[in-house]
Amino acid sequence: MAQYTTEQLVSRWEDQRAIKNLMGKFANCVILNREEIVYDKFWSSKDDVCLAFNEGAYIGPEAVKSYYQAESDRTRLVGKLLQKKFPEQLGKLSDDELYGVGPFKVRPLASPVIEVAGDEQTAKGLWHCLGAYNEVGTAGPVAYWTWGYFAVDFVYEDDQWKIWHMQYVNDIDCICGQSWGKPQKPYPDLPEFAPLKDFKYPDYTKKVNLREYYTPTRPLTRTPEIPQPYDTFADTFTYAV
Amino acid sequence: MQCKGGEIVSKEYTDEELMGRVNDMEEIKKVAYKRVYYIANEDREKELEDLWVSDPALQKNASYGKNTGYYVGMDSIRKYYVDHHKEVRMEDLKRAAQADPSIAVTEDNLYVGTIVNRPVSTGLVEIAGDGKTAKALFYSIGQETVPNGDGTAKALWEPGKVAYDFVREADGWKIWHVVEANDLYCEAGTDYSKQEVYHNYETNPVDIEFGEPDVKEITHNTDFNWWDNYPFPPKPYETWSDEISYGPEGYVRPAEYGLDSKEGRNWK
Repeated sequence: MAQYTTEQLVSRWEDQRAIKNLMGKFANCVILNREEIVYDKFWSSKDDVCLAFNEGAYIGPEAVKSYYQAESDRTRLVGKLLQKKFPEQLGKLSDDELYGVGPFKVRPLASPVIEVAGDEQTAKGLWHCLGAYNEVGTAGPVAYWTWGYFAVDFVYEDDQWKIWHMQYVNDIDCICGQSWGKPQKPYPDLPEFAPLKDFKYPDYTKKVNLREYYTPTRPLTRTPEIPQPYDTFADTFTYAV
Repeated sequence: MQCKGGEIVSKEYTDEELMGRVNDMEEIKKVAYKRVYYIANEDREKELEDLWVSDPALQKNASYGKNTGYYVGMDSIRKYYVDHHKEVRMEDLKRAAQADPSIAVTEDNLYVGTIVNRPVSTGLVEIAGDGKTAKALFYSIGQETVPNGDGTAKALWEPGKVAYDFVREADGWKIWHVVEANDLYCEAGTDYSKQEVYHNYETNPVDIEFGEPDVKEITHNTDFNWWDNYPFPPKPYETWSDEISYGPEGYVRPAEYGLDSKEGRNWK
């Protein structure tokens, strides 16, 4: 175990606090459907940023930004469809006021294992996330439970900690009130939400089966690697894909 | 730690001591958090090696407890927590293979179709004034899912408290005693309020899996969740004593109500 002076310990504790706060702010932005500000506020300016999900990764600033832009566009579209469906409640809202009506994505972050590099220039964090979200899809609003992980590399730049590589992968993504051990019973499509059928997220930069969702025949699927103490980023693994 | 008028008052620490304790606090929580991933990865043997006490004197009375008692000593813990668990998982695998004969019943396929998560939050940590031990209490909204044998799986919500005693060893903080007190289990997609009113020790899957512990004791009775306050929240303390342990030596059966009422119990 590395030995640190009291001053170093204070500095490293502040690093950890800042990293936890960064992820807390990020999770709150997601709850508030503020994806359009996530990249500029929280992500590194490095060229090799990476945002990965179960089936693939967005790599590079333009790709990551395009994902958040799409998420924001979708929120806008959902608001419009709900406004049409509920004219009495939503009809008078301006586009700005309407933005955010519908989706509700809760990503509570628990069980953090954070390792700040010996040189304090990078850090790694792993969180478990027992989440829930309400998605407005072609069947209208449907709520889901999720069980998964956030695995993140951070970099210290311009006196702040920033997200460098992020994996958000789930084992379970299941309609609330149903069992994830049994076949899902989807709700029927509703014609008023049909325009969502044509909505597409940008293609992944790299399509990869990063994590298979749980099924009753899935082999043991290990969590993203647990961060271990390290001196510089060259000494450790990356969460980039 | 001083006692003033019967109340514990804060001890005075130097800046160095305080920062050391802040760092200890983070390291202690990190051990509990790491265990979350070891459990999900079914790395139970490695967990005992990496995260639990290695001092033979401490290993002797290390313990792992649930609602119905404790396994005591690392050998006994290993027999239950690692060996027995593998046997249970082998039965799970056989059920998965029943539904899908392409799944071979081999050691390599252990854990096919199973998933277990015990994430913890709401950490409450107290480090002894002398800095040698610590106590912590977390809450876990956990789940365990195992194959049914018909191509589906039984997915159980398993929320409960998780309590730890930690000891400082040469290479860091280590787990000494654990209690995982299950508050309820409920199959995902079913209504908890439709379960039988009183805890059934013969059918409760958490109790069945726990088997025959070394020390048999109903420490946490879910018929009376509000009553037993077990595992109890840690309080500030100066130095270790067995009375505050989360091992069996620290369990005190409440004097009245609950278990002794004999109401709704079928414990034998």
